Amino acid sequence: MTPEQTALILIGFQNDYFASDGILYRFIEESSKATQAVANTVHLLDALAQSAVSVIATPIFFTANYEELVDPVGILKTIQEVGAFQMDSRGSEMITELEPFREQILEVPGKRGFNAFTGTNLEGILQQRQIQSIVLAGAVTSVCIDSTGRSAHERGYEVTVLSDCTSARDTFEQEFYIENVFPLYAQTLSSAQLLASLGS
Amino acid sequence: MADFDANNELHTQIQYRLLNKLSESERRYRELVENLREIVFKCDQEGKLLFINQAWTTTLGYSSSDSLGQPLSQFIDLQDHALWQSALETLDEQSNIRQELRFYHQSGEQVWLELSMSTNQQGEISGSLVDITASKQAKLLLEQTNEILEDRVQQRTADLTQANQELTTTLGELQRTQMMLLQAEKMSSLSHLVGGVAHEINNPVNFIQGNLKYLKQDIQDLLRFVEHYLEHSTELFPELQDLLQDIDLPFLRADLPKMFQSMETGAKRIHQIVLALQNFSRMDEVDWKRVDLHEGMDSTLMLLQHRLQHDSVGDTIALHKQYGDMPCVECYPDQINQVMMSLLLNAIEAIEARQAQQELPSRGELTLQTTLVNDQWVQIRVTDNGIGIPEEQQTQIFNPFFTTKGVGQGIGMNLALSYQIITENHHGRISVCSQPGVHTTFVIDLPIKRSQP
Repeated sequence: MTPEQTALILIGFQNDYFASDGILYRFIEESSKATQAVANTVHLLDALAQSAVSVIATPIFFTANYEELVDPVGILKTIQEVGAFQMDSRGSEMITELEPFREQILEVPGKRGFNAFTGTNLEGILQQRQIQSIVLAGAVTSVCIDSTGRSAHERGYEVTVLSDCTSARDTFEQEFYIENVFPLYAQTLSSAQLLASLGS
Repeated sequence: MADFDANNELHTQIQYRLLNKLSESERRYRELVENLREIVFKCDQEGKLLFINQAWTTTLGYSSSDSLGQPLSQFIDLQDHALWQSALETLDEQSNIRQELRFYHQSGEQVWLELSMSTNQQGEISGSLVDITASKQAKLLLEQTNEILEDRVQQRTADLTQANQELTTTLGELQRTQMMLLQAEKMSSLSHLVGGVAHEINNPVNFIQGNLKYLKQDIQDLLRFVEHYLEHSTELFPELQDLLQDIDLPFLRADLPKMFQSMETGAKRIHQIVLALQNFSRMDEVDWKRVDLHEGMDSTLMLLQHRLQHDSVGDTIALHKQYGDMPCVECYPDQINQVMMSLLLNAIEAIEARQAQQELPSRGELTLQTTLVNDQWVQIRVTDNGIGIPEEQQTQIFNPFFTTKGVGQGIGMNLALSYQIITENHHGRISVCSQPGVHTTFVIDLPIKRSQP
């Protein structure tokens, strides 16, 4: 894994998930507190500030009437029901903790579902930068992280999931994915281990 | 790639539903755990909280959001940090640690929790914390109550011991007082008796002693008449001649003066004895009086003279009087005489006892010595070479009812009474120094003037 060919994909670091007044804050609160996902991600970004690693955010947001969603099920249905991630709302904005790194982060819009590749120009950007390794951080572990991870794997990328920079709905789910699901197609590392492997 | 993405989304939905089912099952267990009264927790290897149930907030007041991710030690009382650290260090997969720890409640109060924890292969720690504050407080209360009870028992015991000591002291004082009263009564009766006898004897003795010289004169006159009659008669009647021969007039004339001399000596001796008895009893001297101690001692010695001259086995006791030049002393004379009587009798009996054992190398020696110590004190020393007093008994001989004599021979109060008389009644001192087989000396120090305690 070389920094130049590595991209850190930040998924769902938006107020509706991570801000204490976010609409879905309670949805991931327990797990994010346990993993200290935000604090660890901030620390990671700080450490990567001078590196060649690409940092890309793929925020999710919808129009006010959620016209992008057709017969949504599961979490997407929940998102629509509670009115989360509406375009131009505070809930859909990047969390304030990541604001200092805004210049470092390339924001790729268009994500409307779980998979960050769907509806976005993510793959084109990765190819343009000759990225081979994808590192995933953010929420929700069992949904967007896993979906994006599998999609990246299917696209031939070397996938890494950061155990202490991701958050599930609860600690049980977080541990289950880190220990049982991700190892099927990716490696799981802590942020410290990642920095070590990047030589930072 | 569109198919891929569609499949991917589908798989995610499938997984999501599977997970929901799984989570449902997990939730059931979680609910069980959440509803437990005991705290259930999970930590990483460093002791940071990964999971806590609702009992955590109920018991300690902290919300789970404020607690997750924090080290458990942050909530433990500083006093017990070392115990927690030690538990972490000794924890292995085989063991289950149990430890009572003090925690801080959010309000600042101390909460006792019983920790039980174990670890798994990944090094994660899980366990429970049971609130034992109530039982701890009950135990503490019990201990405090026990301490209070023990204190009370000790206090009561101390009170009882003190009361017992006071009772013992009081009993001792009562016994001594009783003994004093008995002795005083006995001595009073004895004094009355002795004084009465002396008085009764004194009058007839005075008659005898007073009439002896007139009787002597009368008899001499009669003898003179007889001699004149014989001288001037030429012939006696035969009956008178026979009577003259019978009475042996020359012998009578020679024997009568001797007889009178003997009677005078006897009467004088009786008079001296009566005086000694009166001096000893001092019936009229129950108050303080300035007296010549030597006179009292001589009177006492006179009463004991028969014991000094001939003892039971025919030996004699040599008396050495070494009287110093000293003034009259203010005292109760009868009491001092009583003390001297006791000490001298003891000395004589000690010598007799040694004589009876045939251990005395020479004859018995009894020394009565008086000294003027200074202008305030005089000293009387009574020394004998009798059997002596063993060292272990020397501290007891002044105790009431202490005696070395056989049953019926003494009640063991003479020296106790002497001690009382000298120390309490006269504010003097009495002590004994004895080297068994060599000598025994009783020393009395008396103030010359009556002193207050």
